[in-house]
Amino acid sequence: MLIDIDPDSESPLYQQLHDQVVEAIADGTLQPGEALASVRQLASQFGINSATVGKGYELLRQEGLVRTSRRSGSVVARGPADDPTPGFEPGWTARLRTLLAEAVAHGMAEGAIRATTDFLLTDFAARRADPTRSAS
Amino acid sequence: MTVFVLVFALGFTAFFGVLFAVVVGLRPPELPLSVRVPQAHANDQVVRSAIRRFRVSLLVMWLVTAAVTTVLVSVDLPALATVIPVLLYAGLTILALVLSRRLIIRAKRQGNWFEGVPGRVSAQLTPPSYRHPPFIWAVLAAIVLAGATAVGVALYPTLPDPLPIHFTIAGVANAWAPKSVWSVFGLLMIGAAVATLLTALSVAAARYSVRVQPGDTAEQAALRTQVQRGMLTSLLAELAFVLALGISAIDVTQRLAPGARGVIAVCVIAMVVLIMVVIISNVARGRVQLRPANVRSGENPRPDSIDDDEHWKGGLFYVNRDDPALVVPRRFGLGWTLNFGRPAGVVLTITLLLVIVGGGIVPLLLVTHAR
Repeated sequence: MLIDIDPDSESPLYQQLHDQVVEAIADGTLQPGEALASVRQLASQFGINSATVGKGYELLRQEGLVRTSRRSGSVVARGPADDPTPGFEPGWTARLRTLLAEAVAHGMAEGAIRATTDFLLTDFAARRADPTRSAS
Repeated sequence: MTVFVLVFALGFTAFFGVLFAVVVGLRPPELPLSVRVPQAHANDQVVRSAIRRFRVSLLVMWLVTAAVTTVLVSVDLPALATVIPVLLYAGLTILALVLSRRLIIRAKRQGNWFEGVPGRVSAQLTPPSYRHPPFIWAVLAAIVLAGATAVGVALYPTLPDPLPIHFTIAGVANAWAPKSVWSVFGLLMIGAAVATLLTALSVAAARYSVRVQPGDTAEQAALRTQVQRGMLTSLLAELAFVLALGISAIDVTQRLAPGARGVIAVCVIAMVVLIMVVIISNVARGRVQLRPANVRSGENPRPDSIDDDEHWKGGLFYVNRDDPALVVPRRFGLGWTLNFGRPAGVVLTITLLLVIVGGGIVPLLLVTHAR
């Protein structure tokens, strides 16, 4: 799987890395147990500071999406089919609240917000069901 | 002798000229002559004519080198004629590259090719599977070296003390060393060390992370990694065997027929030819295997890379302090280059230079000392 980062973006590089891994887990591109490149390998391929990649991986570890062991390196720790991560929901609800508030504040209609949410969720599920569609 | 020098100098430089002319076509389309260009401009007229100009310059520069070599040989300086053409051609090739790539750089700057082009840096998050290097060549190298050692051991009691280690062109010994394990098996030890080093490098090459070329799909990036790793591992592994074979052959002829210059010359020429065959066959095979990785379909366009020319001095030397990679794939030519933005890169370069210079000076000192 390829991962693209935009050095000119306002979003920090580690955040871009984190977000793409989360999306890949959601749409089934990354399966539980799948091996990820090491921090050093990834930083060397990108040609960026190892600390930046390390920060992205650390964030994913804290969230329980990735686990790192000395023997097998970093692997995907869970997938959509696993039980919900304990204690995940309150923090997520708070962030979703901000995102929804943003949409409302910018005048998006409630129906449009719901339609977008439905579309994205259906898309993730469809890609999981048909891996050929998940080519990003 | 003069014919040998001419053939060596012209053949050697011609080989590199042809290699560079081929290698230019091997690079990803977004890196013509080591200049980063957006995909939209990869096939521009100016890019094509710059590459043509470089290839023509390679030929012109070779003719200049050939003329200089002929002059050196005709004024009876055959010793200089082996070194100067190679250095001259290396310098002229760099000059040709710098002059030809300036065309693209100028067009890129004037046309603001990267303006408004979204730039991305890509990496393979899931590393492609690891494939073993072909160990058969290391085994064969060990067998050949062991065979030559066995010949040395068998003949050791009959060898003269002091042992002649250098001969004039006429085959008369003019330098000796006391008979010892070092003077008898020294060449084979160097051979074993070189073969071990090349095998170790081939094992390292099997794991090396290939940078994703802009425009590559995930499959193409994986293919590029597999092909480049495969090409480098087999190239290095085969070179280890060829060098072990050549050094063993030279050593055995030294033992069986000391001072027979003709036989050594044949061994050296055969070794050089084999090295060229190994390089050309591996590069040619890699080029064919890489073909699907260089196909760009318009349907699913991949984002462009960012313009990283600032880190590539002259298109040849990589200097980037932020990059943790010590070794990066070359933009021009094959294999890798060091990141001179890291202290370790500078230290390694100085060490390599010392080893090369030392490797030339120490044997000279030994020979003078033995006199």
